Amino acid sequence: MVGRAIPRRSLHSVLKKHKPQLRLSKDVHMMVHLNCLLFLHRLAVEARTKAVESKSSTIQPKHVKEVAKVVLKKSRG
Amino acid sequence: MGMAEGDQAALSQRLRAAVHYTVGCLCEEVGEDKGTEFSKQTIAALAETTFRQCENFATDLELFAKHGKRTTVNTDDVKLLARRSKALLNFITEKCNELASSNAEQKEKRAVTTGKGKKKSTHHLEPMVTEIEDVAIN
Repeated sequence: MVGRAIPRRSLHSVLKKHKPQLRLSKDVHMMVHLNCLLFLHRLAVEARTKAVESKSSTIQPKHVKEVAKVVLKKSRG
Repeated sequence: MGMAEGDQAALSQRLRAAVHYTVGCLCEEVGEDKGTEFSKQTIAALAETTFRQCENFATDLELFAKHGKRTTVNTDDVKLLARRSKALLNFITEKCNELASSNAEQKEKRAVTTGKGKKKSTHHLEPMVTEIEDVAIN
């Protein structure tokens, strides 16, 4: 994860899909990528806590689904 | 304007007290509406939460205004503040529109009154009313 290049193209295409006429500056991709990583980290931590709560050693899809709503709400700007 | 430490603390206390009182009044209203009662501790907790939330609001509004290269906070900043929940955003937008329309009305009135001159008498009031009615008809 450390030495990985940022997937600029995919980020750009996703953003273009949502906002077609939005123009993006150069460093935007990096910040968006950082935001994505932080969001995933938050989601992972929350899902793990949920899994520990339900005494399961593996994170199952249901844990992620239960937690996703709260994390998405928290990560709103 | 250097404020002493004690003065600052007293001001903060007074603000908190005012917020507490207002929250108490609002809770009473809600209690009458729903037929429930709020304990004193609940009201105090609500007041404290409101106070802290207001601090967050203030910092956010300041940052939004700064982002717009302004030093004055305006209604757009408040709309931005409320963008997280859709219902709240709709409500705030509605209120903004109401305020804007009422402001426009007041401006119109003021323009009419200033056109009349500075004398405030019933004799001068009557033609003003007719003028407003004319505007309404048009």
